[in-house]
Amino acid sequence: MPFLMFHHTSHFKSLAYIGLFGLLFSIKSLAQDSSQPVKTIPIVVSYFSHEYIHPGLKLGTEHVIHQWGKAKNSNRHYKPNRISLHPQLAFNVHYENHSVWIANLELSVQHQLFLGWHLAYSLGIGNLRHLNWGTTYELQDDGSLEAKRWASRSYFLPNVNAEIGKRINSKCSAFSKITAAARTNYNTIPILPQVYWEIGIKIHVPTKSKGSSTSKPA
Amino acid sequence: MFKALLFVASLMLCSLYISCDHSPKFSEWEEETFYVRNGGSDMPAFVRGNTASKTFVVYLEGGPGFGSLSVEGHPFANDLEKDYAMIYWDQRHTGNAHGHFNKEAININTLVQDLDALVKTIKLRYGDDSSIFLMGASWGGRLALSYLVTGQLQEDIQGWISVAGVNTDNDYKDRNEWVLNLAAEEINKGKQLEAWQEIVSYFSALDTINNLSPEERAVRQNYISQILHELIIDYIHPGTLLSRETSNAHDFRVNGWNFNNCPLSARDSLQQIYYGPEDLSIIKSPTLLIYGKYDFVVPGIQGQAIYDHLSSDSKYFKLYEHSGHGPMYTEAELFVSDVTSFIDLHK
Repeated sequence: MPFLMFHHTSHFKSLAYIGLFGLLFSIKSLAQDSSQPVKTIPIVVSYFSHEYIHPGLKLGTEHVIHQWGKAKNSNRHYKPNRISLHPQLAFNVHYENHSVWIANLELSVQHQLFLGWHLAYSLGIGNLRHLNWGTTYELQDDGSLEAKRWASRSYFLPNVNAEIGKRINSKCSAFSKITAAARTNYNTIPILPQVYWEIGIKIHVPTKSKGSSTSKPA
Repeated sequence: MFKALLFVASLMLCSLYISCDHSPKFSEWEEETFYVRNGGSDMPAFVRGNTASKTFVVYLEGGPGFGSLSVEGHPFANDLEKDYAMIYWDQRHTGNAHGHFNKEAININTLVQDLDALVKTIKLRYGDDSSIFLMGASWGGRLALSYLVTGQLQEDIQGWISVAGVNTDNDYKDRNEWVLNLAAEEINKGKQLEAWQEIVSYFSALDTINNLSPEERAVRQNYISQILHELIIDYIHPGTLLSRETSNAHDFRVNGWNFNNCPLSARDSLQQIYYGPEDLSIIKSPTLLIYGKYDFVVPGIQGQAIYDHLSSDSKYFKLYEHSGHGPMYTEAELFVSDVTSFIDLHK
């Protein structure tokens, strides 16, 4: 099977297309800047790949614990540096092999650079759920086989992350992020290294109440 | 916006669900996956090829540790997939097999139990009328032997194919004997006498009874990979010589980068397993043994010894004249022809 031959993988392709269109749609809907202060909640959505090849999606949010530094530009809510917590839910697919779901919590430090660019570093702890593709047949003590759909195993997944991004406007920023993770207790080895790469956007979604703002746009 | 994000996420989940159809399919070309779970390990079986034939060839990888998908995409595998369903199975702690267990669980009894579970799973999934053949390469040949000498398990399969399968109590003795026989043959032909005589003097002096020290192994390996390689290179078809050809058709979508190798300590203990004449005489299954004349990893002398002691009424030993340790790569057409004839006779 030649590398990247997709003729048996229509679902695999549609998965990637849907994710891409979803990202474009989200960016388009937030393309217009607004100076009106409104209460918002930050939503992070990204294409989340394992080893650059296996596609997936990550959704998350951000809770700012502490921020400091002088505000720049005309944005009175903007402070350049921050420490934040990021709860996240992600999945990706190894075609015809398995899929993984990851629940992750990151603690990040973000530094502002220039012209709206930022760098962020984070430490995370996660739970990785490895779902077998197709049916899993489990050998029982009496020698019989039990067929199971969606059989899975869990692994603890500590991770370190580095992110670079740029503010598009007060509502939206784009970023790229690399994650080095360790899947623990994998077979007989204590740590199996994993590399994830993602590209996505952080959008500040307005909530219903207006007037005061709790948003801290990137 | 929340609704839009939820909609996108839902679409992706639906697509993912639809893509994971679990039921077995029968056609002239199928690509599907199922897992076998036993003793803390989830071991994937990648099915490729003609499932409508209801003839399944279980590929047991060498090593152990490369991952069975490393052979997928090679010409021999592509050709066999047209007539039969190949099942590329990752043994525990190799390839894409995952789970959690102690190193002690990597022993021959557990591995045979895993393989037995796979064979029974094929029968359960594809029907009792399925024909199953084991194809073991190098270490995989030894695993197949272990399966066949255990209880009545061989009754579940229609035959087995050993491709440079290991079975010896002294690798170095066998290998040195094989090299010396080859050297004698070449000296009789009068070709490159000086170089072959150097080979003879070195390998004759090797202590083949005691284990070689790491330094002695390095010198010996140099003789094989450099000097011997130059002497026999013209005899070998392009592809492999002393080791396997690296797949140029690696399917990264499925396999990705793989760091999941069997621990060396477990591998060493597995490589001590040897079946003598009494054990081998238990085997009544149809057998095809294929070895390469220029294989100095698992010399044909081991295959000949297996052949001599089998009780099978239908057994064949083939020594490929232009191959090393990977006859299925170097003489793919001949290999496919031999394997197809064998399977069609016994399925």
